[in-house]
Order: sequence, then structure tokens, then C-alpha cells
Amino acid sequence: MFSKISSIVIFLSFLGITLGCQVGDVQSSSYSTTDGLVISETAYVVNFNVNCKDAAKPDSLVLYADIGNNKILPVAKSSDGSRFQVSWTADLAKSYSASYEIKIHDEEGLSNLKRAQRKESKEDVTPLFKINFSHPGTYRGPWLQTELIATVISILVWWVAYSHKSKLD
Amino acid sequence: MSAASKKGYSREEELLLHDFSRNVSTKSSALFYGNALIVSATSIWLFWRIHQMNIYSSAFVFVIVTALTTWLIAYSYKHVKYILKFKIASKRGEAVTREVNKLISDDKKMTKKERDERVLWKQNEVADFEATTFAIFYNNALFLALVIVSSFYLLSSFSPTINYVFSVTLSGGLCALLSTSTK
Repeated sequence: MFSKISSIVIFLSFLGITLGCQVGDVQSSSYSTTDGLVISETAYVVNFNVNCKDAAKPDSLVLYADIGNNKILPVAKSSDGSRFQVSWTADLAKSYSASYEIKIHDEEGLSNLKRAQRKESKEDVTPLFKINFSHPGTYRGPWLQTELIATVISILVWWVAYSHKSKLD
Repeated sequence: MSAASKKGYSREEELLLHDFSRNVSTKSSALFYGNALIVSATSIWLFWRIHQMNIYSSAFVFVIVTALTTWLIAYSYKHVKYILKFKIASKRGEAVTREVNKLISDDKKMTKKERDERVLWKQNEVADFEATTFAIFYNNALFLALVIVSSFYLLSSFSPTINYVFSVTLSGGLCALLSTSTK
């Protein structure tokens, strides 16, 4: 009997947690490294606020971010539970300009996602919400080094002079 | 009494010796050294702004190397001019003769000797001017190309001071060496 009561309590607690915040509006901002001259990896940071539909606070949410390529990262939460942040780094050479879609899952969504990954099924796990952001690309310097251009031009000028000198022979 | 007069050279021979001598006039010399100084000084800017050499602490090195390179480049100018002058004179001779004859054709009082002297003088002047300007252009192009290649690629792993001393001096030296070619 006690086991039945405890299981009911656990179920209700779980229900209470999941029903504690119905995700409504999400405001997000993002940052990504755009100057790649002295770095080896590009950093991406996505901050977002979650508004619950009811009067509940979002501090009960435990979230995970699916950033693609089967990478799942935990989402950090501020002390008051109002702001969330997920960040990661990527190889500079692969950080082209692109639009990214971050899928945010709760714990249930995470377990479903991991199950789907283990089974290697192509079944799409519905996230709690998605955040889109655009990375403009990371500047890695000019396509041609300026000293190469200066060298080519100076050799070209000398070659023109040499050609004219040779014609005088 | 000049050395030429002592040796009994005629005026025409003296003129020929002067025109085909390696010696340059004071005006040409000033032009050569002035240009050489400007080109040598250009390398200071390259190393100060691009290779990040401190201009005040390296001032002594800059002055010494610039002075040496100025002399080397001026030497190159003189030799290249000397070689080119004959080639240009032979190339332009016909055109200059035609032009001078056209100008003095109406002057009936002029003797043949005077005409020939006028043509020779004009040929010399044209060849001198063109050889001077081309020598300056060619040596500047060669020197700057050598400095850029040596400072950015050959000696780039050395300290800026070593890079400056060797790249500029060796470039000037190479220009001087190549100018002594007889072709």
C-alpha cells in the first residue's frame, strides 16, 4: 500500500514539474565569433528567456540543446532561473556562414532523442521549441596576402623594364 | 691647360671623349644621387611600418644602410646609363637625324660640318636623357623587387634589424653587380 502511495506521489510530482511551466514565448539572442585572425575555434553563445503560459516560473525547467550532428549539450540556467544559455565551440575551418537551428528539449525529450539515436531511427523527436540564429561567418584574413600582391606587382614592373631593356639590344 | 689639350686632342675628339665617357655631368650626378637617396629611404618606410622596426632606436642603422645603398644604387645608375646610351644612340640615330635635318633644312648658311655637329649633339642629348631616365627606372624596379622578395620571403624569419641590413644592402649590391654587365 505504501508502495502504491509513493508511486502515486512520485507520478504527481513528475506531473507537477512538467505541468509547472507550459512554454510560451521565447526571446533569444545569439553571439558568434566573427574575427578569426588570432583564434583556432569559433565560439557560439545562445541566450534565451522562456515565458511560461501560466503563472509558473521557468526555473523548474531542465533543458538540453540539440545543436546538430548528434551533439546534445546541457543548457545552463541563471540562479533565478529566468535566463538560459547554451554555448559551444567549433573548428574555425568549418565555421562558414550558415543558419543554425537549435532544438531545445526537456528531460523527456532528451531521453526520447537518445533512444532514437541508439536505435539509429530517423524518427523526428519534437523539441519543446526551436531557436534559429544566423552566423555571418568568421573572417580569416584576406584571400591573398598583401605581401604576395606587392611581390607580384614589383616583379611584373621589373619584367616590363627588363623587356624594354632587352629590346634595345 | 686641360689634360686633353696637353695630349693634343682636337675639339671634335674632345667632344667625342666627353660624350662617350663614363663620367657623368654634375647635373646627372645630382639627379642620380637624389633618386638613389629617395629609393633607399623608401625601404625605411617599409621596415618601419610593415616590419615594425622602431624608427628612433634603429635610426643609426637606417642612416648607415641608406647611405651605403644610395652609393650602390647611384653606381648602378651610372653604369646602366653608360651601357644603354650607345644602344639608344644607335636606335634613335636615324630618327634624330631626320628631325634635325628637317629643322635646319631652311638654313642655307650652315655648313655640312655644322649640320653634322648639330645632329651629333642632338643624338647625344636624346640618348643621354633617355638612358638616364631608363637607367633610373630599371634600377629602381630591380632594387624594390629584390628588397620585397628578400624581406618578405628569404629573410623573414630573422629579426627586423638583420632583415633590413641584409635585404637592403644585398639588394643594392646585387643591382650594382648586375649593372657592371657589358650587355
